[in-house]
Order: sequence, then structure tokens, then C-alpha cells
Amino acid sequence: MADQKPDSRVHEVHDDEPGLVASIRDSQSSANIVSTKLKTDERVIARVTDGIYRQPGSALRELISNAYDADATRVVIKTDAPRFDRIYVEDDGHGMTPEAFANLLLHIGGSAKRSDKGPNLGITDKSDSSRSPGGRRLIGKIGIGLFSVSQLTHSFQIITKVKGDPFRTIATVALRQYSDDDATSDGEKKEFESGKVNIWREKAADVESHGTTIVLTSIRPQARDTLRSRDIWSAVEYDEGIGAGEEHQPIDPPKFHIGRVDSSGQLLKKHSGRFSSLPWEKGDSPVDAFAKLVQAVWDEVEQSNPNPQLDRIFDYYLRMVWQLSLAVPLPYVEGHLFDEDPGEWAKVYSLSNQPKGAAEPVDLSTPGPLRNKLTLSDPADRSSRFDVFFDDLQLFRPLKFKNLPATNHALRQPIIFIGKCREEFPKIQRELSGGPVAFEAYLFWTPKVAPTEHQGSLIRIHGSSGTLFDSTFMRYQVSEQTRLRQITCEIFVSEGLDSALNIDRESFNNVHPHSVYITKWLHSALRQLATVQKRLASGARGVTRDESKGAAVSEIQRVAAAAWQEQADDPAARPPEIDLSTDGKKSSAARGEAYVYSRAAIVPEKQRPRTGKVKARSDILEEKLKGIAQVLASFGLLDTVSKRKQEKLLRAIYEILEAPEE
Amino acid sequence: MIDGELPDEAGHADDIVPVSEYAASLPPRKDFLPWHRPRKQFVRHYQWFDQISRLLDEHALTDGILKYLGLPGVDLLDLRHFHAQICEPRNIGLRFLGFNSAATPASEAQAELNISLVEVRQLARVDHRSDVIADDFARVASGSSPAWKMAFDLGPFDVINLDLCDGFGAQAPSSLGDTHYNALNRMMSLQARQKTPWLLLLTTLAGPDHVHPEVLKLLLEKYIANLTTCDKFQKASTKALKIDDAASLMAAVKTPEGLLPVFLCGICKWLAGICVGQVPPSRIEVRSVVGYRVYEGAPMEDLISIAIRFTPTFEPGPDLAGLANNRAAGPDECSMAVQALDRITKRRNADQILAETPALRAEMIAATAALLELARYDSAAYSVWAGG
Repeated sequence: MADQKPDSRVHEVHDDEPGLVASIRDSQSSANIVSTKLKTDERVIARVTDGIYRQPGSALRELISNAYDADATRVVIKTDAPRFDRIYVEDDGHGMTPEAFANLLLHIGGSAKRSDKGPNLGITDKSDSSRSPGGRRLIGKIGIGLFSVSQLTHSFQIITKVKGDPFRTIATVALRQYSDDDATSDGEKKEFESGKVNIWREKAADVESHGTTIVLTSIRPQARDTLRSRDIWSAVEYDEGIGAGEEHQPIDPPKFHIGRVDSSGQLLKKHSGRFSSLPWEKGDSPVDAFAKLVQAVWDEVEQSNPNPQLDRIFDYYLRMVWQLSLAVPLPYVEGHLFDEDPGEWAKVYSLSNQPKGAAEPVDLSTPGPLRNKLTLSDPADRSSRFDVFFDDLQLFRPLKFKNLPATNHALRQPIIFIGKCREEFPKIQRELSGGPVAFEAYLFWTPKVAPTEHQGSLIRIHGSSGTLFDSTFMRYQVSEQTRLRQITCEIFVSEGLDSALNIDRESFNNVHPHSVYITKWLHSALRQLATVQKRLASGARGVTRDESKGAAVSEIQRVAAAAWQEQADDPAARPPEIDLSTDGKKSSAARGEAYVYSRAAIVPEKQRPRTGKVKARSDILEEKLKGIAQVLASFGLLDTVSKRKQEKLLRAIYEILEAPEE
Repeated sequence: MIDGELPDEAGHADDIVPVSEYAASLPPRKDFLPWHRPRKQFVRHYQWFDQISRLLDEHALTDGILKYLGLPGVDLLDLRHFHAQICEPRNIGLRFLGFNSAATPASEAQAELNISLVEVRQLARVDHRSDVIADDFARVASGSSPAWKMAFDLGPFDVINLDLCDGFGAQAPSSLGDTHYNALNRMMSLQARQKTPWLLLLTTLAGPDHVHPEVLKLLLEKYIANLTTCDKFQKASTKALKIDDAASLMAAVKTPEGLLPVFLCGICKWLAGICVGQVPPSRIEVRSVVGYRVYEGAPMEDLISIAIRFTPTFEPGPDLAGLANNRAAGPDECSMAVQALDRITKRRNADQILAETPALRAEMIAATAALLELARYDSAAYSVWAGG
């Protein structure tokens, strides 16, 4: 390790906050650099700055959230994917004054947001410290968001400027690995060093410009490997090394991926003749590219895979982008559900807030958006623009409500349940209730929710969510597994619940009164939904059975349909088609959702010609196989393995069915 | 260490942290560097700006965005200059792809480059896809390199500015991999997709020490071929350089004065050869040649900036099957070589022009000072440094 010579430009400043601010303001170029240490007086915060998040993507979510809180209208994230040596996040928010910056460094975990200091430092509204200067409801509050970058790197650079300032403030930061015996004792007070910082100011010709850029360099090898989907590509590469034998089952990367680099990190490697496999073209606008990404997931349902899982069809990068677009306050890819007039394409019910209440149909006879009909206000600050660009893409919430693929279900239209609630907890002292909680919500029932990761309930606080979709619907105990998989729910919290968020903002404190209340409300909503959906389904049942196929086929289909309906607890549900395709495409006979398999992979090639009797037996065999596959799908068992393994499984079953009886 | 274990062998402790030192990085000192001299501004303005302006005057951009590939310094002076002098007055966008090794995490200059990038990316007309990447431009040579992928995604370009610090002809031609020749040859494949004329600005050391003997040998072969097969070229060469055959050529390149124009002409002929070989072919025209002396004691200019305009043609090529017979005559390498030689012999010496025109020199110092001020240098100190 090279010894660093003392640099005459650098002055160590370990003063209190005003002293640090004065030193930063004294700097007018890189000839005068202020060096200080990041310190926390709480062990727990020192621990926090070292990384509490599970995923590298969480760090980017926190940086985007910071930009939102700074009233940015545009955030640009650029990576050098698929290498991931360097990532930068650039926003056009207010930027930080030296005062705000010093406060950030010296009070990690003690954010000035939502405190009296906020307005003075220019980071919150003058009269309401829970809002940004531009009036946005703040997402961040604790002041550790910036340090979430420790998940990605220990070294980064901050370049920030406020409007009207003829200088930029620059800092380079080296974060320190936390260790339990790190505390330095200063008399009674213990201090924990979290990192070193060099700060200086640089004159700026563009006095009116403003914003903050964070440049992440020296990405941690483990984070880099995650971003590179190292686990997937290692398996593919191991497999490529084995070579193709007779019984060799090749491992494929996900259908869509950004590609990979070789072990040197300097060369891109092809798979199936291509460096990457993306649903958009390089020349597409960022808006079009994102729309194509979302459509690619729905196309899976349409074409071959009734239950597309992001986990299987995307690499880590694409999943991360998807999750970020769900997490941050953004417009929807095809518009907010509340702005729709679903008269033509859905039924709408209004949810009761009473424990024993029932959902009431909403009159859709007069045109107009749901927002007007039901006096809905989410999102609260619709006027302020917030565009987030991530490499080739402009991010939007990747949820679609209209023009969904046809399914086999007898209910052809989605059912929308809208809720709106404000609870004051009048019988509980504020100190115990945490104050009022208010939210709006929708539960969107449709026979098929794609991707499967959207089956669940997602809670947003002021537009932001770190928790993503909770497939248990906040631990709903009623056994309605199939119906729950047909529901996408978003709860838009406009007041309260904030304090129930755990520090990483990725989970809730389940015993907080607001969490408990929303849980109860949601479970009641689910019950109301089930009642309505069952009633509509029994009205839609009685679809004619195809009698032309003969008794044996009819019986097989009856058993499979019964299993499906029983598992779904839904008389209008129909099992997905099982399509044995010769060209990999869904046959025109399969109208709704279908599992499309390669016939050659399942049904062994037989010698021709066949007699009529043999052919009839073979047709029955195929129907039996399809029936068994449908039963397996009814119990959710088919989707537990990859497509290729599904084919192997069905082939084995076919061969057993085909075995001679004597 | 356990006996028998090799010290450098990779162990579980390797590749856990990306850096081994716990220290916040420091920016480099803002020293004035050789390329801050006024003569560079002379090239920047009177060749680069001038040629880009003429290109845009004669051929409007199809989408209103000037696409630029360059090798900018960490202060991004060229980009600042073009934004202010070209993009703003013409109300056009700027999308740039820069190559600079300072963009790597290991580089001390990284902090400085990041600041410059923030400043430039915040300029009104800079397209948000613009970036500076850490790769050496020569990495473009490999079709599997991220450098090529970036160039491919953002190109083809209206301007390619290869402002090399070394000699374009310094590497052995036979070396496999990432040579300037391979990189530029691959870029030419991308540029072949450009529908409108484009500019190559090439800056290279061109003294005897900066031209590899094997490169020279190959270029001389092309020169000799032109002398024997192209009458116009032979006459032009005789008139301009007193070179009319192989013997006089060999004698000429033994002197710096003789080598320089032959080397430059050889590079142009090499590019013309690539263009003629493409289907459809392009036409090249050497638009401007400016030189100055960087090595003390060099007998003449040893750093040359050359501006070449490429004009695509859309003439059908030959049809080997014989069905189509509308092949058009492509551009003629012989005529292009004559034009190139003419420009090369008329090259301007920036040192001499600035020495003879103090007002122009003062203007170049002031312009550089203004650019350096934007890049946060002390412009007053610069004026003293440059004026001294």
C-alpha cells in the first residue's frame, strides 16, 4: 500500500458544524480542501451506514428518493452495464448548500428533513417540514438514504450545487467498514467513525444551475457480481463447459438479459449469437423502450407461459429496474387506474370501511374517470413532474389494467374495487395511535395477473414503496390461494403509517397501530372482493362443454376442470390449455392462456402409418397427459419448475401412460 | 503465510473489497499542461470549429443533434467550445461519446473528470445519452468490447475527433488486437452507415520516432503504387515534393521534412483505400492540415492535426451474379490522393502563424483562458503562464 504524502492543499477540520461550514465556504477551489470524518454518536447508526439493505438496487432506490425529496424533475442513472465499474445518479433538484451538506455529514441518521432545521437549510418547505420546498410530501426522513450507497461501494463522489451559488460543493467520501470495537472515547462521549471526507468548492460559471450528482466508483465485487447476474451466468458457463451430450440438458439464461462480460470484465460474451437479449431496440425512445419491457411480460401470458415470473424471464438488472419503477413515485406506464373510465371494460365496486360491510357497485353509466366519480386524489402532487431515466429506459410504474390477454375464465372483465379511508382513532390517545391514518386503494381482480410478482398488495407512502408486492396480503389467513393470485392491490397512504416503516423502508413494524389497521382493512376488502367475485362467477358459469369429442375426452376434461375450479374456489374458472406445439407458437385452438410446449420434447416420435385405432388411443393418451398437466397446474405444482423441466416431467408421465398394460 | 503457499495466489480474501486503502480521493492539482497552449486553441478554433461549421453549413443534420466521438481531456474543453460556438448559435443538440482513461475508478483524475462531466451534461443542448467512458479508444477494435458497443449504440457520428497524444502510426501494423488501425477500421464500418458527410479530425505525432518502420513500409508501397499507376499523382508528387519514383521517395523519407508529408499522405491514402473498398464507397477530401512543434529540437512541426471530410456515395456496386448491370464508377483513389497531397503541402504552421500575428495569439490566449475559466482554472494565472 502506497503511503500517501501529506498534501499541502488539505486541511483537517474536525470542528463543530459552524466551523465545518465556515471551512467549506472558505474553499474556492481544489487548492483548498477540507478533510473531515463522518462521525456518528450512535453505534446503531454507524452500523446502518455500513449497509443494512439486502440488494444493490435498494441503494439506487434511496438515491432516487433523495432526488424526489429535493424537488428534482429529472433523475438520470447511468451505468456501464453489463460491466458495472461505475454508476452515476444525477438529478436537477435543489442541491445542497455547504450548511445542508455539513449537517448531512455530521448528523447521519438525524436528518434535518421533518425537523426545525429543514427550512433553514433549504431542504424542506418553510412552513411544513414534512414537505419539500416545492411542496412534495417527503419520502426520506432518517438521513441515511445517501449512505445506502455503502451497499454498492465504499467510495463515492458528491457534486452538488444550489441555484444562484457561484460555486459547486464537491466531496469525495471513503466509507469505513464497521467493526464492533471501533468506538473512540472522548471523555464520556463515544464517537463512531463512519468514513473520511474531502470537501472543496469549485467556481461555477452556470450560476443558475442546480442539482446533485453522486458518482459511485469502485463498486464492491459482490455487488458487481449481483448486478452482473453472476449466479445465472456462472451456471450457464459451467454448463457450456460440459458440452452438449445426448442427455445434456442445457441451462439457458433468462429470456431477457443485458448480457455478460468475460472474467476479465473487459469483453462482452455472446449467448446464442447475441450479446444481449432485450425487448427493446437501441434506437427506441426511453419511453417506448420501457413500454416494450412491460409488454414483453404480458406477451409471455399471451404466447406460452400463463404465469410469467420476473425471476425466470429477467436477469438481475432488468428485475432491479422493474422493482425500482414500482418503488419510486412515478406515473403509470399506461396511466393511473383512477384516471380510467372503465365503463366499457371492467366492473367497479366501492369498498366499505366497516368490518362487516359489503362492496357496492359503482354506477358507470355516465362517462368520466373514477377519480371524479369517487372523489379520489392519489397521487397528491400530480402537477409536479418527476422523470427517472435508467440507461436506455424511462421508468414508469409497470402496471397495466386495460387490454389484458384473453383467458379461459368465464368472467371476461376485470373487477375493480376502490377503497378510501381515513381513521382518526378517536378512542385512543394520539401517543398510542400514532395519529390518524388515511389512504386510498384499489384491488384489481383479473383472472391472470402478470408478472406473478404483482400478485399481492403494495403499500405506498406518499407515492413511494420499498416493500413491493406482498403476496400474503399482509398475512391473510383465509385459504383462497387462487383468488389471491388474481389480485393486484395498491394502497396509497397519504397520512400516517410512515413511522411503522422499518429503517430500511423495506418492511413494516407489524404491531404499529397503523399497520394493524390497514391489515384489518385489507382483509375486510379481500372478503368483500371474494363475495362479489363468487357471485359474479356463479352467474357466468355453465359454459357449454364440447360434447363432440366423445365420452372419454369429456370425462378427462371434466375431472381437470373440476380440480381447477375446486382449487380456485371459483365456478367460473377454467384451466389453462395445454398446447403441444410443433412450431413453438400457440395454436389457434387455444384461445385463452395456455402452457405451450414443444410436442417433440414430450411426445416420442412414432413410426407411421398408424391405424385408426392406434391413433384414437394416442389421442386419448394426449388428452390424459393434458388433463394431468392441468391438475398439476391447479395445485400450482407446474409453475414450481422451469419450462424445460416441465417438459421433462410431462414426457415422463406420457411415457408411463403409454407403457403397455400387460 | 502457510509454508508452500504462493504469496500472489488468489485466496478467499481476494476480491472482497475493491480498494485496499481507506482514504477519500483527492482531485489532481490544476496545473497548466502542454495542450493548454494557445496553439491548441488555434487548432480547436481555426480547424475543428471551422470545419464542423462548414460541414453543418453545407449539410444540415437530419435530427438536429450533432453526434460527436472524441478523446477529451478531463477538462472537456473541446466539448465546452463546440457547445458554445456551434450548438448554441445553431440551436442544435450535442450527443457525445468520449474516451478517457480518467473515468476509471483507479484514476486520480476521476474526481476532476466527474466535475467537468456534471458541468457539461448540464449545458442546455447536451443530450442525456452523452457520456465519457474509461476505455482506451483502441478498444473499439474488438467487436466484443464495451467500447465498441457504446460507439455502435451512439453512432454513426457526424464528427470523430481522434486527438491522440501519441503517434497514429507508432504501433506495429501486424500486432493483433487493439491498434489504432484496427479501431479506426472498425469505426469506418459504422461510419459507412452515415448518410450525410462527416468529419474525421485526426491529431497525431508525426516525427520520425513516431512512425513504425513497418507502417512506413506499407504506406510507402501504396505511395509507390500511386506513382506508377496514377499519372496525376506522379506529377503532383514531383511538383510538390520532388518525388517522382521509388528511389526519390526512399531518399526523401530519410529526412524529417520528407517523411512528414509522405506519412500524412500515406495515412490519407490508407483511409481512401478503405472508403473505395466499401460498398457503396465514400469519397474523402482533406480539408485542412495544421502542424506545430511539441518536441524541443524537432527540426519542424511534429504534431499534425488533419481534418478529412468523408462524403458517402450511394452508387450501386458490382453484381457478381450478373443480373444487375448498373454499377456506377466509384470515387477514384488517384484523384483523392492528389487532393490530399495538395492540402498536406499547403499545411499551416500554428507556431509560425501565432508568432507572426501577436493579435491572433492574444486572441487564442484569451479564448483558452475563457475555456479554462469554465473548467475552474485560474484564468489570470493562465494568461501569465501562456503569455510568458
